[in-house]
Amino acid sequence: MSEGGRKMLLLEMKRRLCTRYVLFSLLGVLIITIGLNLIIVSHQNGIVHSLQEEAVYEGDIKEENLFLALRKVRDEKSGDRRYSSQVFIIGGLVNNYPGVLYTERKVEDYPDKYANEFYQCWRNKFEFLIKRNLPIKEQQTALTKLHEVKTPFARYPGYYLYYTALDNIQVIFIIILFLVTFFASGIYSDSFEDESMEIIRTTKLYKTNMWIRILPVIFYGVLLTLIATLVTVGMISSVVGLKVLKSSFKMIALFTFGNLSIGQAIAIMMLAEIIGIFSLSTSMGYFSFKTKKTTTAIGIGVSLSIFYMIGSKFVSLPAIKYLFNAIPMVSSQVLLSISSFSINFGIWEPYVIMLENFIIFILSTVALAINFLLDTNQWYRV
Amino acid sequence: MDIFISELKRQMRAKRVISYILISIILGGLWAWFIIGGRTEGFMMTGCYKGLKGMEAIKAAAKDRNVYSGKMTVDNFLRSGEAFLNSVEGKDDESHIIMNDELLKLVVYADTLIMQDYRLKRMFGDDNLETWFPRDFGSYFYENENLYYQNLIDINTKNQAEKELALKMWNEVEKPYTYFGGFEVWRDGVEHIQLFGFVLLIMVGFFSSGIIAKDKECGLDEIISTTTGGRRKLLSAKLFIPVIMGLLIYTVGMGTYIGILKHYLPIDALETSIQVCGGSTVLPYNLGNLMDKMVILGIIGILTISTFTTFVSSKVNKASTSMSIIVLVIISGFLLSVMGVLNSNPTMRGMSLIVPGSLVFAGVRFDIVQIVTVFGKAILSFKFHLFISILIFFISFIMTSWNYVRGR
Repeated sequence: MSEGGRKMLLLEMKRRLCTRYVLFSLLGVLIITIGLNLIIVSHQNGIVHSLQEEAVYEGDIKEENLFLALRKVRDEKSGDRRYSSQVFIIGGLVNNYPGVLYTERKVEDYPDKYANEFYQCWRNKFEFLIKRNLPIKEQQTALTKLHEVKTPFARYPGYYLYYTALDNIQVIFIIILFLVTFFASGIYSDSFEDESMEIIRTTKLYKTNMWIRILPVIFYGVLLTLIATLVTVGMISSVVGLKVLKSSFKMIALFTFGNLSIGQAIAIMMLAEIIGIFSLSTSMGYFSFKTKKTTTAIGIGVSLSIFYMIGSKFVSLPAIKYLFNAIPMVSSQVLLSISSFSINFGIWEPYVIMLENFIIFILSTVALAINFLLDTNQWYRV
Repeated sequence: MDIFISELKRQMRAKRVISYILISIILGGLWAWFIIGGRTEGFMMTGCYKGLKGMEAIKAAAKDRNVYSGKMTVDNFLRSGEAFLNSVEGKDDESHIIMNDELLKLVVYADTLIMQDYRLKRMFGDDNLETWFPRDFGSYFYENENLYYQNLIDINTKNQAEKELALKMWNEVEKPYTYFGGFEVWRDGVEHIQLFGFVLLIMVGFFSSGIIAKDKECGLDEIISTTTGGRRKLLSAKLFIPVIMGLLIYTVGMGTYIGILKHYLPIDALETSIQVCGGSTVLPYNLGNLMDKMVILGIIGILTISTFTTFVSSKVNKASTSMSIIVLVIISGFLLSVMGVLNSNPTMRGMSLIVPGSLVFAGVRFDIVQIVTVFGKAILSFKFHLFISILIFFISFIMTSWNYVRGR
């Protein structure tokens, strides 16, 4: 980038980011994040003791430990946290997707094999679920993916706080995408509205300026995402420690592909959100450039997001699902697809979402480029 | 009055109004088509009515179920329990249900019984969910219902006043319950009033967000303030046009939706007691009452959001800003009511009550026992929500007038 371009970038950043809107929205996101997580954290008065108890068997989940715990709880009615927390994991076999294969209602009925053949039982149920829930052509890929899963799983005490924490991150991600929509809607149209665009058009660096305008939006979105994630992780870690991030994501959702830890799952959520922000800012930029009116651009952006939020809840046709996965709003909902085991195009669904959003990003960038080009040519012709 | 009319003409330009109205009509139509057309019927995976979809399924199911419709007597419950147990084949784990004509006619009763059995077992910690209920279970239906709801009230109320109100409500529930075939679709239809209301809410927000801010943007506001009447003359127009348009969009959209439902679905199904509809609630309403209440709450929610938008519009300088704020408010109302109402955290519960426009999502407040205590007085949660919304409506009204006339 030339000297002028770099200076322009700095000035543009300053113009867009040093505003009341950005300040308020940063504060808002910060407050919402802290508020939501305070609800989790503040209920954990007695947690220190049970964390110590559970720490006895932290790390890899071994079948012999599970078996010991099952015998203690089932046969000796032990109420010890160190045992009951492990039986809770065994219970996951029954309680995730209930009514399938394993249907015992209480701990007393759990057979020994749930504990001493835990991983085999898990595989059996997963295979059964894949055969029952997925269309035939996707089953083979799914089974391959299942075989790639490494056992044993790992667990560190306190991972259960992330059940709610991940949901919180997801809610905040939705709000962030709306904020980015509003922020991006004015990229070009504001200048069209106050007619400064007419002046900018005549300058030498017109095209550079057009491209540079997208960067503050992306920066803003990424900043918000970082705040939401890091504050959440920080607050949870202040109670249970950073080690928990090494727990397998299987502890949150037992029947999932991959060998993700909770920390990696959060990283994937963040990555998807950031890709979503990229595609959202360029596509909103396109709408903004095309409609030349900020309110219309907001209208389009919000309608698309609402269409996704309501539509995806009710329509499950595969063809429409591809369409939904291309709407930037979907990237805030990646947690849902990490926690399930759907496959699209032979690819794991979270990656499909990222891929489709990336394609939208490329497409809207190309569309913008074409528009800038046409625009400049018109200007010179006149 | 003249100025009111001319402002009305300016704001409600034909193209603009027609596009808003058209969109709400189309959405209402699509939504109703979606509810009716996507409907399938069945009972416990027995595959009855398989292959039927939409109106065909609804009609076929309603025809069978209407044989014993009306008051749900204990005799019929007893008969359904027996018919159901007779049709269960195999033991415990591998049991499956063989459908027969008698059961097909008594499906609603059997379903209600199974539900009651499940609820009672859950409530009293009976883990023996594998086995079905005993043969004469149906003859104690209303006694069991009493037992269940009284316990539910005990669990979900915090003090004596709340408990008394809940019990009063429960005693007003008409027993025996009533049902008519086709109520299942109506139930879905009524639930979707909220979601459709959400979309209409956003539309109303879009319309009203520019009402004052746009004038400021194009400098018209300056000119208005120099006229003899000033802004004061225009105030009533600015206040009421969003309200009128909000009402118009909501009535037209929701009218289309409910009109289509009423045209195609059996009307008498609206007399079904809501206790039969799946959720557990102590409120003494039938589906029709519930629908009316949801629509009225929706209208008030729309009115609240239109005045609140006007207020925001009078505060900010750009239409796009007020639009953003309103969308955020509506979305947070939506998110809060999705996750906040059943949350035990008092701040979340409180927040979900005061967000303007969240009244549209008040349907969740008809579930279970939702009573709040305000200054020591127990009051139904949705009525309190309504009260707060009306308060917000008037406060926004006053604040807007103050802001606008003062010229800020």
